[in-house]
Parts: sequence; structure tokens; C-alpha cells
Amino acid sequence: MIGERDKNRPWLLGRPEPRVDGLGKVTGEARFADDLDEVGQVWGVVLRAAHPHARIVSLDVEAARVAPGVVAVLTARDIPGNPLVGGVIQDQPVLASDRVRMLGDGVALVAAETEEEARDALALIRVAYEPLPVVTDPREALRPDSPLVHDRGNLVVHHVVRHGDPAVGFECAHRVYERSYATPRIEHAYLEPECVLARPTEGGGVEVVGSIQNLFSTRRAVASVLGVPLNRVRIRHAVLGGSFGGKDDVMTVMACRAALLARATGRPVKMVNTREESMLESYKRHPYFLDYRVGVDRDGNLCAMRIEIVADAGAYASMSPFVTYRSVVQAAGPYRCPHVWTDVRAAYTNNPYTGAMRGFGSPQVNFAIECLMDEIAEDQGLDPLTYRRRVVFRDGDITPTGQRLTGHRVSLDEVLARIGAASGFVDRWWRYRAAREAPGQVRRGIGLACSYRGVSLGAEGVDAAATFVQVQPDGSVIVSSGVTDMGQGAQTAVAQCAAEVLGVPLDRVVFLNTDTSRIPDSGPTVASRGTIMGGSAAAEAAAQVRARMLEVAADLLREPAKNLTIRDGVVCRAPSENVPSRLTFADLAAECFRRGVALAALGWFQSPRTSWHEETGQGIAYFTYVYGANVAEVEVDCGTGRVRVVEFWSVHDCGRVVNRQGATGQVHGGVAMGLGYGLLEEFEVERGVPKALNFDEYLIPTAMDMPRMHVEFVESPDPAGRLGQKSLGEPTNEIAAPAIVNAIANATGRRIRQIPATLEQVLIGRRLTREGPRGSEAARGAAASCKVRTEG
Amino acid sequence: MISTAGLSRPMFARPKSLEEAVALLASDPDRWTPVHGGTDLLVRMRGGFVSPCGLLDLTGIPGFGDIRVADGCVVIGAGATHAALASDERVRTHAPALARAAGMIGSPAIRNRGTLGGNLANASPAADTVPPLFVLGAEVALQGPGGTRWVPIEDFATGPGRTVRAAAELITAVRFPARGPDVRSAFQRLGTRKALAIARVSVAVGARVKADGTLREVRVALGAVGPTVLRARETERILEGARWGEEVARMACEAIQREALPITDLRAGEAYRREMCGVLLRRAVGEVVGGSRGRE
Repeated sequence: MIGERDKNRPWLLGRPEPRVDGLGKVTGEARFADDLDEVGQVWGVVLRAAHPHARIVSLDVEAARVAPGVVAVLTARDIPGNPLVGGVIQDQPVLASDRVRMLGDGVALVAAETEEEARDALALIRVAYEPLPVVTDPREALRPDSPLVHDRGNLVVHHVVRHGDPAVGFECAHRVYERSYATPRIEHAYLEPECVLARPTEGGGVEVVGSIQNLFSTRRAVASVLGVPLNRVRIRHAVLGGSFGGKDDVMTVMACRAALLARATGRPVKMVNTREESMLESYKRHPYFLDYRVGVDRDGNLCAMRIEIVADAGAYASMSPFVTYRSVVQAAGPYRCPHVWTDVRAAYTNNPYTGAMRGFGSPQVNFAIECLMDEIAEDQGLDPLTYRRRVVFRDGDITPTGQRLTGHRVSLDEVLARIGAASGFVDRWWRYRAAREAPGQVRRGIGLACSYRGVSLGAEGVDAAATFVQVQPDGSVIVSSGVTDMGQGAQTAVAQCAAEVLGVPLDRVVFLNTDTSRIPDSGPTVASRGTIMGGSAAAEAAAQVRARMLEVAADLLREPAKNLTIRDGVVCRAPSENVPSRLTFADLAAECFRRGVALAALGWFQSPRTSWHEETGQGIAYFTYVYGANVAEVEVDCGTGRVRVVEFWSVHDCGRVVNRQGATGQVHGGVAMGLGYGLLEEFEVERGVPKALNFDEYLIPTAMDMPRMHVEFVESPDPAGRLGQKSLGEPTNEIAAPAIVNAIANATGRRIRQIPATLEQVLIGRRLTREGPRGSEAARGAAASCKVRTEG
Repeated sequence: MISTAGLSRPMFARPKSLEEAVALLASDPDRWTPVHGGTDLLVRMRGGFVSPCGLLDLTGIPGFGDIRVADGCVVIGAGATHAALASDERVRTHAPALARAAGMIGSPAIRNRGTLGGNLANASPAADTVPPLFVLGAEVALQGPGGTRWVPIEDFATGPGRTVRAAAELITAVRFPARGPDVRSAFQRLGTRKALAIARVSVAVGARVKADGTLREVRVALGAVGPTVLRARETERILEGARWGEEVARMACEAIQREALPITDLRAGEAYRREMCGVLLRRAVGEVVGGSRGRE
């Protein structure tokens, strides 16, 4: 950082500090939601729908009410407040009253003294259904003759981008590509199934602790369902065993149900999903059907794009309006193109509902555009890296939403140059391409994909977060934030931002789990916004406390405060060089405490402005962007269709790296998920009924499937983040699949346009999944053990 | 985290000797379900497919997993774990395909608990140890109150999850001729991912390769493409006495695709499975002829 004053150079940021919560997790001291119990608690269980779409004709719970151990049985009629929840559109019943729309819908709740008694009582509830026509293809759902999942129609949302005029653009086209792509519904596959513990509190309220990702969204819903003000509902965060966007709506529904049972019984209520219940009920990643029409001129420039996408929202809207917003913004990829029209529609179906999942509408469009760009490159007689470097965004370019990329460094070309050098991409790509015709069944291939990604929520809505920093009289520090940790490392990142500014070593900081009654509503911890929003708020709070402490230090050291800083727990004299004084942070904190100085501050960070014009899809979609590229090297067995990813390179510009170890871990995890998306995973549903409900048949990659990883960062500190930091969690996950599929094309010469690229898909270019009932015993078992009944 | 709601609460016994185990089982055969590693049984219990009245835990029987060579035979105790089979020198010498197959099962944790006897009792058509036992000409020892009978491996399983074992009998051992490295065997398997994946198709081949390159005593077995593991006799006839080459390979592949009885399920389509029988056969025979490992 030449030219930057030494005083401002980070001393702690970027260091591979161990996770603040790491030790507890490996020793078993960490307390997950299911580790928590309360004296006198009862167990809550859910009776789920027997049909993916049906009218409830009658519901008889009397036998269950008097069953052994049963304390309460509740139906939709017992909900005192608003019976519907939903983050954007309130369309999801906490309990179905007259109609079920997916197999995971809850119909009744039972609370009993033991889990066994509660589950036994479920069998005594009689439900008579009148099955309704089922719609499972979102494209069919949008036809006028489709069965309606919701009375207001099956269209959940329709986003557009209207930039330039493709009709004009296509006239310049030397070549036009029309390609269709399809991406699968997938499971988040968090290690820990959903769990909550709810306790009734005074004033008609509740306190809920659980494996909840977005505590404030859950609080809003619980208060609304109970009909009480927000201050009567307290949601606390247990240690989370993974979420990946998955513990949002499903946890909100579970928390509402537990809260209802807690109010009804006057006792603490615990609810835990089995894996089968979790897979049946939880929302998934949206399957997309994508049609791209792209025109390329004689020089290889993109002259027009017309993109039409239909997303399967499943039975409820959940985050569909926002997921598809990101898709419409990013569908054309990080490429200069003057004429882009994009339409993204999401439709209700009777499939499991779909919502937030790491990537959030980007993995689908990235798969399509990155596969297509590869094809165009090859037709241009160029390798995919060289071609992309000619057409990617650079500083000052205009995106399809009309946003000029300024105020930060548009580093994609540098990212591509770095990954090309690290992987030897160009040489290998030509070499493997030439070797396609060589004898032998095993071929190698190398593939590239890149992306730009809007940081945080963008024009989805309000974007602000709080972090509370308290320095104790002994110099130790407590940080709590509205940003939650679900295993992604937010605690460490936020704590490290606070420690950087305060000037204390990270091991002096304790991070408290989020509690909605003790920290302001900071929005959801989504959109890779934890580090930039929570971390910036932490820096803001820490700066306030540090300024007060340095005033005291100035008095003690007889030196102007502006000449002082704090590093590694010691007050230093600045600016020319950091000369340590004899004043430690701990002694200074003690002195501040004696003098009555406020050693605590609430940092509030609000994002820069964004804008969006609904009718044209033009505006400042996100306040800044991150850039990344992936390269996959694969080995394809042309005898069996088996693909092995043998080596993988990830280069990301995520702004300033806060914690190198955490950042690298994010990349490894993101690539693992992306590999599963590209090669293995599909949550198959037939006529509304999932085909697999446990990890014996829903296969995700294991450590054995992971390639040798190479991770690099291009650090362009961004003024949008208080310390130059941006986002990383989702960028790591969104381009692995197209990199792998492009590598398969490099090896075999065949383009796969539907993922996962299963053995059959690779070998013969289509899927071979059978229609009709399954033969395997495990499948019957999964259905039986999650209490899917043919009749109630 | 793991719900125990689906698990019944069976009686439990852990006999200290084989005699005690056989006597206890004979006293009330319908009550007791033998268990060793439990890697299949406990999953089935949780899924609600079986709810045994009593679990007869065989882990307390001394020497139940011993492996020895006696009277020209390799004798493997039913309690031998997959991990033990994969690493045992005698198994690797006389039955490399079995060692290889055992080393591909599940994950290290499953291989450390799961046993050969359990793999046979579970009678999955996709059981990895069974195709190698077919080509080895193995026999299974069933010990009941009346003594021990030896059943050829090909007669042992009668359908998915079904065997000829009587309720009062225990699987105590498996034996096959110790023919040394002259009779080569190979195992090829295709799974969806590298570990923890049930075979979609597996092929085992055993043969003696004469100095002139002809194949003798050929045996071919197919896994996961029928209700039980299958012996591919027509394929064997084509290979018997033949020299491995493209024409023979083509005929053998056609034969094995006819002999396979695959179904479509979540793990693979029928047409794909049939085609893979040929691909894996080529690789397995190639491995036997070349004396080297083919690709997985």
C-alpha cells in the first residue's frame, strides 16, 4: 500500500487467525439447538399432508387429543393472529386450513410428554382429502389452462431488463446462438436438521432459541402469528450446523408452530425434524429453464441478447421474488453487450417450495451464460480465456441494468489473467482439445467460468446492520451483531473487524450469538453481506470506542490523540512509524473505566444507495460488485461417463480479505457445493412426491470427490466496505458447475446443457430416470419413516 | 440429532462363545436377529422395515472374524470386517478381487464395522463382496443346532434380502480354494461418487491365464443388475479357452448384456446398466489378462 499512511494499514485484517468458535466445535463444547433442553418441556411434532395438492374435507383430532401423553393438538383454527407467513408475499399457512399445496405442508400439531407419544398420536388424526389436479412443471403452470396453486394465479413474479433494443442488435449479428439450459432443484444438505426450543414468556410472548438463520424475519412472523408486538418475542441463536440459505422460511414456520404450542400448553416445547422430515419440508434451490438467444458480430463482440427464464417456485413464494431479481440483473454475465432484454418469471407449482440457497439465483444463470460463452469462444477460434478477456467488463462499463461500474475496481480481467497463469489454462485447453481423437477411453479437459456479482441485497430492500462493541475494564472485548453465524465464519470476520480497529488481538474478543431483544433488527444474514455489513458496523462501533479511549491515552502519554494508534494490544505513537508506548490496551481500558468513559458503542452501517425501475429493469442494481473465476480440470471416462474433477483453481476479488483462513475455507466449501450441483445432485420430485429423502440416495460430494484446490485472491479494497471488504460466500459457489461442464466439453467435444452431468448425461447425452414407482426398499422406507400416509 | 422414534426396543444378548450363540438362537429362532457391525440392520430398523424382538450380538465370540488358510482353503470367519479383508495378505494373495471389493465398500467407518457375514446375510444384489466370492467358487458355512452345512455362494441368496439361511442358523464362515496367484481375479465397480456409494453395476472375473494367452476356468459374476448377484455363464462359455482380443471381447460383451437383468432405479437407468456390464467386463478381463489393475 504505497502512499497509504502506515497508521491506516491493517495490522490484523487478512491474517489467517483461527476461528473464534473453532475450538468449541472440535471439542464438542458448542451447544447446537438439539443440545438444549428445558425442565418440563414437551415435544412438538407435525402431521404433514398426504397429497401434494388437495382440499381438506375434514380434520378430526379428537382421538389424538386423548392419546397417552398428549398435552395439546392444534390446527389452523387455533392460530390467534395472522395464519400466513412469507418473507415477501404472505402466502404460506403455518398450518393448512382448507387446502394443502405440497407434500411438506403441515396440517396439525401435537405436543406430548415424549417424542414417541407425540408421533404415535399423529397416527390417530383423521384427515379426509379431496385430491386436486397437480401441476409440477412451472412452464405448464403459466399456461391459462393450468390448475391453480393459489387463487390469484400461478405467476409469482415477473422481472424484466430492457436495455437497448435486441431487434436492432441482432441485425448486426454475424452469428446467432439459440440455446436452452436446465438446472436442477437441489437440497441445501446442512449437517444439522432443523430444531427449535420455544418457551412461553410473560405478556403472551415467547422466547425461541434454535437453528435459525434470519432471526429478525422469524421474529416478525412469530409476533404476527401470535398477534403480539415485536418486543414480546425474543429469538435467540443457537450454534448452527450449517444453513447455506436454508434455515430461513422453514425455521420461521417451525418457530411459529413451536410458539403456538408453547402458548397453548404453557410449557417449553421442543421440535426437531428427522432428516426425512427436513428434506420433505424444507425449501430447495429453484430449478430453472433458461432460453438464451445471443448475437455475435464478425469481430466476436456480443451485439444482442434475448433471455427468457422460468423458475419453479414450488408451492409458496418464499424468496422467489428476490432470487429471480438477482437472476434478471446478472443473467447476461459480466460481458459488454449493448442490447439485452431479459425476462424472468417464477411460477407456483405443487413441488416443494424453493427459496434462498447460496448463490441465490446466480448459479442457474451463470451456468447458462458461461457454457454459452465457451461455445462462442470456440467458434471464434479462440480459447475461452482469451475470448472472455476481450469482452468482459472493465472500469466504467455499463451493465444491462444501465449501471456504470465506477467507484470500485472492475478487476475481472486481472482475475482472469491470474487464473490463466496459475492454471496454465490456454496451453492445456488447446492440448486437451487436440487429444480428443487420441486412443484410450480416459480423456482430460480443462474448463473456465467467471462471474460478476452484486454485493449484499441491492435494490431488494433496506440494507443496514448493527454491531455492538463493548470493551471491558480489563481490556477484553465483547462483540455482538445482528449478523448471525451459521458456520460460515461471520463471528470471526465481524470480531476481526472490531479487533482491527480497536487494536486488540483476536483472542481478546468474545462474540455473542445474536439475540433479537438485545441488538437492533439488522436484516437477514444473506447475500454474502455478513462481512461487509456486520463487519463495517463493527468497525464503526470500534472506531467510536477507540476515539474515546485515545483521548484518555493522549492525556496519559501527553501526545495529541491524532498521533496515537493501537496495535496488538499496545498504544503506539504514529504517524511516521508505530513506536509502541508502555501503555497497554488493558491498562487504558481500566483507566477509561475509572474515568467513566463509555467503553461501548453501537455501530450502524447503512449501505450506499441503490435504485430500480420495475418496468424497465434499469437502475443501480447493487452498490458494488465482486469478481471471480474458476478453472476445473477433469478426467472423463468415455466408457462409463464418469467425471472426476482432478484439479481446481479459484481466483476471487472479494475486496480486502478479512481472514485468509476463513476466506480459503469459503472457497473450498463453495467449490464442493458447486461440484455437487454440476455432477451429482438433483432433488427429484415426481408428481409432487420427492424420490429420495435421505443422504443414502441423495448423494452430495464427499471429501474423496474433492479435487486438488488452488485458491488465490485479488484484493481491491472497496470504499463501499468500511475496511475495504466485500463479499465472498456465494461467489465461491456460483461458477464451479459451468467450469466443470466446460471442461467436459473440452475433453469430449460434447456440450451438456442440463445439469447435473450424471454418468448417463455425459455418456449418452440424456437422462435415464425412470417414471413410475421406485423399486428400492430404501425409498419406501424413507416415505414410511417420515409419516407420509396415503390417507390420514 | 438422530431420531430414535422409529427404533423398537429389542431384547439384547451378547453370547461369549459360538456354541452359546447357536444354542440361544435355536432356543427361539424367531425372536433373535443376529447382528455384528449393524451397518445394514440398524439402518433398516430405523427405517421401519424390520423390528426384531431381540438382537443377538455376535461381537463377543472369540475368533469369529479370524482368517486362516487350512486344507487348501482360505477360511474367513463371518465376523471379519471389510477393512480386515481389504488388508489381509492371504486374502490379497488368493482372492485379490475380494480384497479390492471389500476396500471399496462405504467409508472407513463402515469398513471397520461391517462384516463379511453381514454383507451376505443382507443379501443385497449390489453387495460388493459377493461377485468376487462367485468367481472364487466360495461356500458359506451355516451352523445350526444340527451342525454345520456348507452352501455354494451361488445358492445362498434367493432374492433381494432373502437367503437360504434358516432362522435357527448362523452364518459362521466363508471358504474358497486357496489357488494362489495363478488363478487371477478382478473386480470392477461403478459408483456415483468415489466413496459411500452403492454400486450401480459391478463385474467380477476370475480365470487362469495359460502361457499361450488362453483363458481357463473362467468365471464371471455380475452385481446390481438382477435380483441377486448373477453368474454370467454364457459369457463364461465364450471366454473359456479363448484368447482375449477384440472379437472375443465383442462377443462376450454382447453375451453379458443379454445375461444382465437390470432394472431402473434412482441410481441408474436400465439401458445404461446393461451397457456398463460390457464396459466393466472388458476392463475386468483386461485386468486379469494383463495382470494389472484396470480403472475403477
